[in-house]
Amino acid sequence: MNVYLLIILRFVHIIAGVLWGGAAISYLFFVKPSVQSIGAAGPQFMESLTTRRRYPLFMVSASLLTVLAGGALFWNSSGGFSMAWIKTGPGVGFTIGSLAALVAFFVGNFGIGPTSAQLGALGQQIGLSDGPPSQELISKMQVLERKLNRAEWIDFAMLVVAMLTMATARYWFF
Amino acid sequence: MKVFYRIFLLSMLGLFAGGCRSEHPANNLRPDRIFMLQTTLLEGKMVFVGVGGEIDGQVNPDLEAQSGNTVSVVLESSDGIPHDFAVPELNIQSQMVTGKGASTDVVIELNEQGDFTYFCTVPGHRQAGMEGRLIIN
Repeated sequence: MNVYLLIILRFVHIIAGVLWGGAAISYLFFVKPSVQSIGAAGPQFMESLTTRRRYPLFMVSASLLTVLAGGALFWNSSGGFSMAWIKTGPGVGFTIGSLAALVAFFVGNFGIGPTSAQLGALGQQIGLSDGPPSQELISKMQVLERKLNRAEWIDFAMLVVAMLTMATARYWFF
Repeated sequence: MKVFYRIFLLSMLGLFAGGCRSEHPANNLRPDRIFMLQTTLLEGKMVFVGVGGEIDGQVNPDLEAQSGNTVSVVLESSDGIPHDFAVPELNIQSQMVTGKGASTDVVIELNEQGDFTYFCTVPGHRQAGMEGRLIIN
């Protein structure tokens, strides 16, 4: 692989990874708790974040770029997925990190994203209707919120594993 | 403010000048011996293979030289994976080769005696098999 391409891939992978991980952690520990604490203004804030600021699109883009560039770098470093390298300390470390990042990618884009969209749609439905929401709607929302919460924590844990292993794998010796 | 910008600019120039690599004296010397190593994947391992001379075809060959000599180690990548050649005990580090057929060379003045280890510093490559001996008599 050409050295300039290698540099570009590393740049894309690291920058996109920082944006992805940073945004996910900021959302989980700062944005979401703040939205929950501001009561009635919360849905309006979320609508602005998702629709006007296109936060979901940003997350999909950052995660996709990280994974694609990371895949190319992994393929290059491992000599085409050579077991000789994968069995080494760095190989094991980068493999664990890559797998964790892939899980975070799928949970984020196929778990968190669609569940958030469903919650948003339900919230809109409640907002447009006259009177209090039905018990059925409330139950649906609670189920979706639990699913979303679980997915967010899995996503966070996988991103932490990915970041820790990526930062240290080159020093793994066994 | 002008003073600040002048100081900042001078600092940047100073850092740049300091960061510019000066030509290593050994790079201007004619080598007494040339070792050519090719990187490859062999029997499930990443290895150096000697090309030409006494080390031809040898896997992770012993590179033998005399103290006081100047040797050149030419590294060629035949597998397209990033590799380099380093002997940290002697402060030797080649440029990295990336891409199939790419090569680099490092010229070394051997002022020490003893057995030293050469290897590829790319994470995981030494553990995958890219390690050999540099023997200075």
